[in-house]
Amino acid sequence: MDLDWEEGIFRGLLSLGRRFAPVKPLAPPHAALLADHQAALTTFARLIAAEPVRVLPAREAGGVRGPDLLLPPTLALAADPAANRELYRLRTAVSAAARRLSRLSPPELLPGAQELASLRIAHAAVGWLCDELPRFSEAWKVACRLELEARPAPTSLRGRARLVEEARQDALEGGRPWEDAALILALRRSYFRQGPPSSGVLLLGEWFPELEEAAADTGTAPDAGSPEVTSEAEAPAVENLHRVEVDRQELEDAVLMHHFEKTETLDEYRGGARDMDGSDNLDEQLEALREVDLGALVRDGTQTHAALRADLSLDLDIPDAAGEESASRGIPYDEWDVRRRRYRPGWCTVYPIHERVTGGKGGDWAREALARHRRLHRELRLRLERYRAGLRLIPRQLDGDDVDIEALVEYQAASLAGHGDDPRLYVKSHRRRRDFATTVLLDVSLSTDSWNEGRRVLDVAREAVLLLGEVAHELGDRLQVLAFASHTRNRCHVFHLKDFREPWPLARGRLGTLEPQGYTRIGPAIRYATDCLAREPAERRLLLLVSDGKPSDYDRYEGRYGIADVRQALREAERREIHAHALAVDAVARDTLPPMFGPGAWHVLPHPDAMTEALTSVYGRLTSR
Amino acid sequence: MVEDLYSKASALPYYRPVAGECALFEKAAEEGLPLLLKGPTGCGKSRLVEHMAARLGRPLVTVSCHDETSAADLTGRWLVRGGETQWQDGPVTRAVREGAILYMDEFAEARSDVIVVIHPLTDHRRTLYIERHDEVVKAAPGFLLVVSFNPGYQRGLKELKPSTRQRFVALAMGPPEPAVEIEILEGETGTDAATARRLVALGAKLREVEPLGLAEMPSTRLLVSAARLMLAGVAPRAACNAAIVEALTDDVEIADGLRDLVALAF
Ligand SMILES: Nc1ncnc2c1ncn2[C@@H]1O[C@H](COP(=O)(O)OP(=O)(O)OP(=O)(O)O)[C@@H](O)[C@H]1O
Ligand SMILES: [Mg+2]
Repeated sequence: MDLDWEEGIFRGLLSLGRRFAPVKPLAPPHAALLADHQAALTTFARLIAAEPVRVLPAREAGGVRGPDLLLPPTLALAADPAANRELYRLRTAVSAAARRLSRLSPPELLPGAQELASLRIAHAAVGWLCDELPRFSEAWKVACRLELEARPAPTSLRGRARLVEEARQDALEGGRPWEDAALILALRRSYFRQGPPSSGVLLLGEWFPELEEAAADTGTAPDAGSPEVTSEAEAPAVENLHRVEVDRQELEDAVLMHHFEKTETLDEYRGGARDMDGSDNLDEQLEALREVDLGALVRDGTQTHAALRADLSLDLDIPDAAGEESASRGIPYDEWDVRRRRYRPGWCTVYPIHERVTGGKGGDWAREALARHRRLHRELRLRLERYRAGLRLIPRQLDGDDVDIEALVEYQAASLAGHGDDPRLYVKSHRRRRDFATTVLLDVSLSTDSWNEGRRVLDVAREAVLLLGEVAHELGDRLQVLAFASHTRNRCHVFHLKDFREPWPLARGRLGTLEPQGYTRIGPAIRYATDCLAREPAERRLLLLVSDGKPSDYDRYEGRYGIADVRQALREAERREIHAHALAVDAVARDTLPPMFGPGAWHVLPHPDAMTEALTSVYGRLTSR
Repeated sequence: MVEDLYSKASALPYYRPVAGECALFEKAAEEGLPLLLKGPTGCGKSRLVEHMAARLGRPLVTVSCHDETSAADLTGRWLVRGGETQWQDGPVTRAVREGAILYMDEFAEARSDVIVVIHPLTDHRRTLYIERHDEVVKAAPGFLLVVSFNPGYQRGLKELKPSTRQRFVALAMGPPEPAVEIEILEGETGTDAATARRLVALGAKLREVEPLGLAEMPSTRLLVSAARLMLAGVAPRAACNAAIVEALTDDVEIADGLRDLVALAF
């Protein structure tokens, strides 16, 4: 399993990035931190928005950007953490409600005075919440007071910032500044005289028009030369936009910053220039764009192209591997294109790789891991045996379906002899054994090289699979183990670590030699595994996915597109009567697993050590029904 | 094991028809057509059967199926009494002999040996074959087989085979319209209209979000329990948390998010 040079660099960067990863924001002791409540607030936001929105940290007040709700990283308006946590509840409700209402009718924008449009949209959201949730309005009034007290006096600000601050405070007191035509005009006039801006409203946030709308605009505009268009494109993506003027000289010898990383994923701007050439395909890049916290908008000296657009248009060649593998071994699979709502036929090629190694270094790893988990191993086996207990007729029971003739004869004889008092005279039959086949699909992409609570994700996952394999082997179950990683759609690798009919001891060592590599194109891996399972004669078929739950690949397989393709692949599996279940350690999987796998078919484990136990338990439960 | 609720109906258990299901039930009973009630947990399947049994004046035998329930549990078995072996009818046999309504809960859980016993009862034969006792029992007039099945639950692992399904007239039950559900809460618990309205609104919000990945949507049963707790003096929020939130999920963080909603509703 070789490593591409790009990946080598990527991994280097990754670890570099980790070292400089941002630390938790410094917050006063009475503050509530978003990081502590993000998962709960995500659930809550989804209940209000009635769709799978995401809750993400913003820099400051944040706002709504399409299905992403950006919330302040900390809230400290109230006096204690619990009260501040309640403020998060209110703020989340407002943002989620704004998103919900915007789906019914897209809100009107106010170019040049977008702050007022944001206030109006939030106001509508608050109105809706007051109607829908009886306790909302009371709590809301109190919260608005708190924020008003914390805001600066408008007189301390100048120019546009002062007008905006006045409007914001007015809105917090129940006013409707967006109806003031003179104010709108004044804001528009002062648009280019931006002093230091007034800070956003923590309880309300801003409204950032959805990227798709902007994309449609720029996509169809024949000429992006007018300043109107560029400012349309820049406004949406950025919270607290700041501009970076790019030096002409620097522009000329533009350096490619992340050529070796995902070519088309944006990153935060940390200086340097990028290639600013290329055609407009913002639309195709939206998914990547959603994932990025756009901190800075880079603008070149001329005004024809905003660098935001240029960045999005980086259209470097995606290394196309079609020639590298012999075509005869590859199996084509369709991929689901959610935007066009149809399949892209034969879009991906899966290369099955049959591992032949046994023993060696991997064998040592397996022995060591098994020794370490000896107790858990025994316990899991016992537990599964119990699940499956009584596959036969059990004689001499107190109660059962049939009379145990042998026991009865003895009993009669004993009674005649005057000492027959053993009443266990029945045979109990137990549920008949279900005939099932299981495929474990193990993600070995580079993301499994990350660490979670001091353990490498890949090690956690393969130990779990190792124990499951041992237990299944001891019970005589039919198990297949596949690992997968992708390098663009043209090279989706699936490693056969153990086939249904292969003896388990051969596979142990193969697990041990796995190395993180490539990306996570889950769709074709599921389709391939589905084919394998469907060919296996069995009454019930089960597919277990162990992964970080986040579809991603070098060539734009991510975000909504990736999730939709995985969901589609699972539907195909379901149609072939294959039941799929996913397990993940990473908390981000909470965002992706439920929409992909649906009710009750996923587990996100609270910490890595729970994985081993969980995988085998889930397996036991699903195969004992 | 087998729960043999044998009730000669007396008072009419409360049931509020949601979509003409009482009428359909009555017709199916007249025609002797086996009936499949499908719907999520707590949507009123069992209650409908109790209500209809009382209304039609028929005895009701209830059996809940799970994968330990064997054919012998249902049809009967030999018992040893003081050196004698003696046959004892199981609940299904009794229902068939007496012409009762036989309600088999969670039918998808039934083992295949149970399904084999049930099949001949569902077609023109209306007959129970008891192999162990070497007996053929013709169903008495009035015998009606009703089974329930929860299609959403643990998807993909508990399905009825088409050959079984197609023997039943199916009645799909789901969460009722808000106005009807409010009436149910009032009728069932005697709670006031305002509380009922709030509870139903809360339930509706919780039902809206499939992508949360909860195993089941909150049912009318949960709302009924919450209303009961409130009437018994439990603070509304605590009642909702205990009866609804904790019943829906064991995931700490999802529960936390659900409580956020409760806190703004009560
Ligand atoms: N239409 C209705 N009329 C009256 N009560 C109802 C109705 N629907 C639901 N209920 C209430 O919901 C409770 C649960 O209903 P029931 O026990 O019949 O559910 P079920 O569908 O049988 O659920 P399960 O699949 O879990 O057995 C009842 O006790 C009753 O209080
Ligand atoms: Mg019931």
